[in-house]
Amino acid sequence: MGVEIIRTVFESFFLIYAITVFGVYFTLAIVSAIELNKNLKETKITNYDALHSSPFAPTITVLAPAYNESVTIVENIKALHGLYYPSFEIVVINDGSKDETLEKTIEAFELEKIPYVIDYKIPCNEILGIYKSKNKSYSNLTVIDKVNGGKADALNSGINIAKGDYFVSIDVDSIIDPHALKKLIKPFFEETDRKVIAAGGVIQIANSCKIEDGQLTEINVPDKFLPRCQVIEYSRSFLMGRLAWSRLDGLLLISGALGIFDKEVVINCGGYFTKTVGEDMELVVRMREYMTNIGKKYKVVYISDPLCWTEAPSSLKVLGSQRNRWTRGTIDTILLHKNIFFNRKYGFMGMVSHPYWVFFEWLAPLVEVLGIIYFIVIASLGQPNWTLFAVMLFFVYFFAITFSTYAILFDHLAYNRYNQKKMILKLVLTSWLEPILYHPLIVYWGLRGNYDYFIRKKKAWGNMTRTGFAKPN
Amino acid sequence: MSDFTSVKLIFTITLVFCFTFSVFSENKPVFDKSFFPNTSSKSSRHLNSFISKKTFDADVKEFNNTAGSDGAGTDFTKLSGTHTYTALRLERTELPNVFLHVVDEDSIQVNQLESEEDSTQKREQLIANQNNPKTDNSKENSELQKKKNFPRSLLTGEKLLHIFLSDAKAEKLKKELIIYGENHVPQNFRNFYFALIDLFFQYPVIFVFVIFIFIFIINIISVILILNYTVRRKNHKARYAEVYERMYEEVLLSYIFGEIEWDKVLVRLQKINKHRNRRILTSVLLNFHENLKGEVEKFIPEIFYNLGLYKDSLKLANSFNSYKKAQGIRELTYLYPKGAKEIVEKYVNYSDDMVRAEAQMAYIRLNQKNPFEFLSNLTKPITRWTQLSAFYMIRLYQLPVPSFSNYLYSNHPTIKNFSLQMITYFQQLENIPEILDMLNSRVERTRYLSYKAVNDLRLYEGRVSIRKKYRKETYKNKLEIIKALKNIGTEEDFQFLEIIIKSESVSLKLEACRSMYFMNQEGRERLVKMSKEPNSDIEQFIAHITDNRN
Repeated sequence: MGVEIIRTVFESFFLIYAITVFGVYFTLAIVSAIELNKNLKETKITNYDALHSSPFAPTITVLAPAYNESVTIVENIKALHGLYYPSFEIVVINDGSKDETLEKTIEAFELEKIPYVIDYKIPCNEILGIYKSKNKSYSNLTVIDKVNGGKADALNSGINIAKGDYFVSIDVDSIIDPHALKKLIKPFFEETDRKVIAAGGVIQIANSCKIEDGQLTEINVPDKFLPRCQVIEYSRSFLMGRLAWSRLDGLLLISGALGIFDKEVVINCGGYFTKTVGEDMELVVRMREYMTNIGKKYKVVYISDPLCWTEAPSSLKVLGSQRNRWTRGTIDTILLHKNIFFNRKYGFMGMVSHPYWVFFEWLAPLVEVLGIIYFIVIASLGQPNWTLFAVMLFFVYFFAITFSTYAILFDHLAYNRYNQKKMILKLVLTSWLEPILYHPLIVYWGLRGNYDYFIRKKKAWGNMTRTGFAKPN
Repeated sequence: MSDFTSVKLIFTITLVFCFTFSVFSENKPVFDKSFFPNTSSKSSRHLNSFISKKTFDADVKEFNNTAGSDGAGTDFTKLSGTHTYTALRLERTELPNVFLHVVDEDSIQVNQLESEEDSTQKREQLIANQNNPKTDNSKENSELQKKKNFPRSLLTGEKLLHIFLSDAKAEKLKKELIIYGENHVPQNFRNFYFALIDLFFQYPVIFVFVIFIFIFIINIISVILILNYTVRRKNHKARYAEVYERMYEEVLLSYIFGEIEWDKVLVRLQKINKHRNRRILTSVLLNFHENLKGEVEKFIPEIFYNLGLYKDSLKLANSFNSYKKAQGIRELTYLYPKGAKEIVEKYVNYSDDMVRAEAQMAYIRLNQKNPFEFLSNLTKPITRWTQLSAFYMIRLYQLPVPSFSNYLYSNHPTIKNFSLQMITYFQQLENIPEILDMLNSRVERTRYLSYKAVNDLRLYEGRVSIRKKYRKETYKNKLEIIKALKNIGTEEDFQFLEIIIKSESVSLKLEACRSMYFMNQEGRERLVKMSKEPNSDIEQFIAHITDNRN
């Protein structure tokens, strides 16, 4: 009788969990489709010329933290100079690089150390020097040299000297769409009743794409399997998830690769938290919490345009390290803001978004592994109904493929970036293999992240080695 | 895309229903057997359901009327049937062993038993229960009360767990669902609702899963086919648009520059009866409008009208779809201003942001004498994006700029802010008193723009006022006040700035230093003097502000 009760409880739990996951994913997909449709239509009719030539366009500061980026730093900064926006400054933060990142930058852009008084509005590690160019062509470039403190600390130092009312945080090795700034700033200018405090854009995978002078010249589906899986994963995440969260006013994460923030709000809530590896999510949650606490209406938005291209990890080691860090960052943020959990005061974020992250982002790999262990136990006792098992397995598998296929369709209808049948076919075939080959790895790294967080108390970022983008022929 | 998404949504909901029922209907481990009794075995069949007395009575009445029976004498214990929600249906079919049991004044239980004997015994037992005053009516009543609140109470964790662990809960749930349907589900959907319940309580869960797997496979195949089709279609569409765009451009440019006559244009513009081609033509004309200036500009609206393209744009402008409406308004504004004027005014306060912004831009473009008249009648705030666009229109089309002081007293802070920016940009110095009035605004941004106006327009009259405001201001506005003093300040302000340098945050100190340094020679001397004081950072500040790259 006792065993029966335990089995009932376990199986009911798994079933309810699965139903909720499927339900939530479907709901998000539907809402995303609506939002995507709306955004794309709006984009078609929007005239950005008004912003481009306006003296009233606000200054935007682009913050690009760099650590040991000597191979690509010059090219990346040049690419940033190609952004189309009337008033922006580029602040590159050399976060105590051990290679020649700073030296190469100084040489390439004719920089010199200038006298500069820094207002440490947000605490950060010591800034050793501020560099500006002698060449007027690079008058909007500032380079900070500072003592190493991690990405969050580097961004904080950048915020301290930023001149703009808004700042964009990017990964210096990402490729930013030349029109990204004007598209990112637009939502801040459209709201009248609610203050937009942050906005993010869709991130795309640039592996196997051709890059010239820091600009994307040819889009290809990644040759390797792992990055290809990530293409599908990103499409699912951005086009069938975050857009919906934005629409529902429950968005908690703006990717560190590209996000724009209201500087004043960020400073008021203390800047990036340096003792976490999930500083991007933590900041958004803290900003939202801050706005709720001071009783101001606000909004965090997502833009459906692909504004940033990044190199996805193509080796298991690097991918594992990245996912491990993401998991630790998620746990950290959730626990740091546990007061939000099912707290009505925080509205949709408290009642839906935060619990969603707890149950379906943090705990998902744990539940999945628990389910597998449970099944193994049942199987070893010779009790499972193998027919039902097979049916359920196929059910979940086909559900996953259906979802991914829709993500590919959304991507295609929205952007048409993979415009050859061969490319689409590659992605569709990848989506068939992904649940079998890729997903178990993600679950494993999720578990490792939990283990590292709770048992090993690991706080470091881990290595993120990049192989570099494909060069044009 | 949306069609398929809807299909998925429907199936998800069905799936959730299916899962939910399957969980509730079995106390045994969920995964190890089917949840519902096997319908093929007649001995295990046990229809047991409830219908509301009211519905039942109405049905009986209807039946009696149509059948010509007196109704009162109908022996319902001999009724037969398979359906559970109406006694009439029971009577019209021929299954044995079905009888009705009046539970209370609100509901009737419908039973089908295994055999004639069982039926008789059960019936007698139920009739006895009905006549027995010891029947626990209060319990029944409380249960019925709960049934009315069923969906909400079902969501509570306690009830959920209770349902899992109890043996007879599946049947109970089914009864509750039927009662709930009787009381809450609209008449039109009731048949479907009951059929759905029957279906879920009859088939094994494994069957449902298999169905879903097939649905997923069909879905995947469909999406792949759609992808295949759209890849081809999108590429074809792009090529098609490119070819015709080029052709139309060549023909129209030849006409505009007088190389061919209109008759030839009509011959050479191929396929313009097709909607797609007319849209391409319209976009070509919009491009011409943006890029061709001078004498030739006048031909563009003429071509648009002569080809009847305005009809398409009018249709768009009157469409229910906001995007189409905005698109239509834009086309009419630039290519058929006469038609646009008639419709634009009614949309300047439209509920949809996109349409409203487009109509406001159109208004500015079309009402050259007083382009901002609509601001007086605005019921909704004007977004900063629209403000930028409005300013762009003024510059692009060299529109006459009205005196914006009229709008400084608008109820909308956004209009005040826009007016302040315009006054500052166009240097409307006749509005000085009104600008100074705005220094007292409750809205932070309005005050900020007023300080900026005082600075940019060099309004010396405002110097004392802004200094007085400093203490209570926000950080951003404090910075703006100090910046203003750099341009309009006098020696009288040195003491004020020195206090800031000694006590405020680094950024404010830095700005105060800058103001003093660039105000005049005396300011510089005072700073040098201050720099000699112990623990002074002034030298660093001076080095910072004198480097023009900072």
